Amino acid sequence: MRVALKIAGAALTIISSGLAGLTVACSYRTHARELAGWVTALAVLETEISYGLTKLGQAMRHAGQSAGGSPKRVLARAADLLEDGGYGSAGDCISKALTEETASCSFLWSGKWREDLEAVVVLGEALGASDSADQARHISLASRRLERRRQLAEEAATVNYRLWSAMGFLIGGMVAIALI
Amino acid sequence: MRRIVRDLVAEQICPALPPRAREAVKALPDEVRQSLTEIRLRRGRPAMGVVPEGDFYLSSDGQPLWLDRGRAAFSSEIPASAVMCSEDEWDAAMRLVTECSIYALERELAAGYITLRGGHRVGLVGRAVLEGGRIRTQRELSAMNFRIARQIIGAADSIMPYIVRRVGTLQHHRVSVFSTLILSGPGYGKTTLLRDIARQLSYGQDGTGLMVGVVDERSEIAACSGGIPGNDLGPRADVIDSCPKAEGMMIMIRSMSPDVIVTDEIGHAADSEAIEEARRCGVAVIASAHASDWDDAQRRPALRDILARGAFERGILLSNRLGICTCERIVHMATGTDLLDSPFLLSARADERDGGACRCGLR
Repeated sequence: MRVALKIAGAALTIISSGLAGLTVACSYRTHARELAGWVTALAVLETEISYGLTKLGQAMRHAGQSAGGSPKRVLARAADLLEDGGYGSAGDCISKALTEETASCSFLWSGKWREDLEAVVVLGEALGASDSADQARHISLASRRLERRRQLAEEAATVNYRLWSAMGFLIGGMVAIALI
Repeated sequence: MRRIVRDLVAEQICPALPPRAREAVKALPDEVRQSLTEIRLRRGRPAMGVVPEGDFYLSSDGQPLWLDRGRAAFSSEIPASAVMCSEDEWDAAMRLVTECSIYALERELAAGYITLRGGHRVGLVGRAVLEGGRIRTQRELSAMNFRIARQIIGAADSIMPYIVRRVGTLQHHRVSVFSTLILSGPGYGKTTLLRDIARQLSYGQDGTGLMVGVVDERSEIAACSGGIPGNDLGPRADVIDSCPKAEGMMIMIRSMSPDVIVTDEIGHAADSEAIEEARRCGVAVIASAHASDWDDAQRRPALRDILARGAFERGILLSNRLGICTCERIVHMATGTDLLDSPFLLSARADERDGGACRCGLR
């Protein structure tokens, strides 16, 4: 009975530790995917603004819908605040929406979230305040900055996904052996 | 039973005003707010309201500070309670009017106006940016003028007999329209009259409605939003929105085969060509233009050209002699004969739809 309990405990430790490792591993991929989503959203935003001359609120919604995930939530919320008219500039609305999103995003990346999306916050200050050619320049600059962040995140994900997938189970195994 | 009157200013203008000016307009006495024709914001100066009776500064306590009733008239002193258009207020006004989308409004900024939902025009002036001798856009905007548009159902009632004729027998008749040019200075009701003429032609009487093509370059006649006219233009009206008039008229003729084209504020050489083409195609044109009288119109080269070509059969001159929307003259253009004995105020059949009509000089 005692042995059976030890085996069950060891298995539980290995599984829980392994799952924690997998969560961390997946979060690296999610991080890269979210940044890719933002790059897509900015590409659509550029098209909406420079070719479609779509009003900013609607343009942000379209951009968010095409990317999904956090860009969709953030841009839809920013568009709501903007169209409500009482919150301030596009930059203020995007900052507010990002702050709300930070509170609900993965705890692993909440610290890095602001750093990653600094380019979007800076872009928000310029959005809607100049002609379409200038808007395209601002969006393209922000997009390049985000693309660099995405590449770094992709590289980190390639290395760390395998590492953390195995690490979780290994640490779990070591703890189980130590406890037994 | 108390009649419910739509508060157009509170519903459609206030959301586009900056916070302090919005509160001041909302706090105005109902009768003053509903008779507002303009709200003017000038950077660093007090916000102003305009009603047919005069101009006043907006005040934080809601009481109009009349400019021509006391010391404010010729004094540089600004009353303490006047709502100033500070930098924050101005920035907010710009954000609200442009919906944070300057890039989408370059053409409008170059032309000096933006049209709000509901067809209200906001005039904007600042420093012009030139490109090749033409205005590309405006920067450092310094003043905006919210012009409140009201649909007056029945405004054209007294005019219709002069511009419509019945052709055929009593039993089998059809309606034909005289091409008509409406002239007046700014703010005397040209667009209001055009809108109601379009509506009445579109509805028709006794099954004699006509296909009306509205070329609405400034979105003031139909007040389209999302492709749907905000004003009632009847069942037979098609609207081409935000399109230059000359091109719009050609598109209308080619694609929608209208009986009548209605358009606002003609005045370019291209408009003259397009009107001529429409007339050759058998389409009547009802248009308006800025001019205080016929001599004034003759001094504008494009209008002189249009009039010389005999494109219009009737001319209507509006003034504010008896109040805004005074029909001063109706002229048979071919002979120059005056068809009116004396000026009269255009009548509004009902103002339930949009409040304040009676205060705009319409009885």
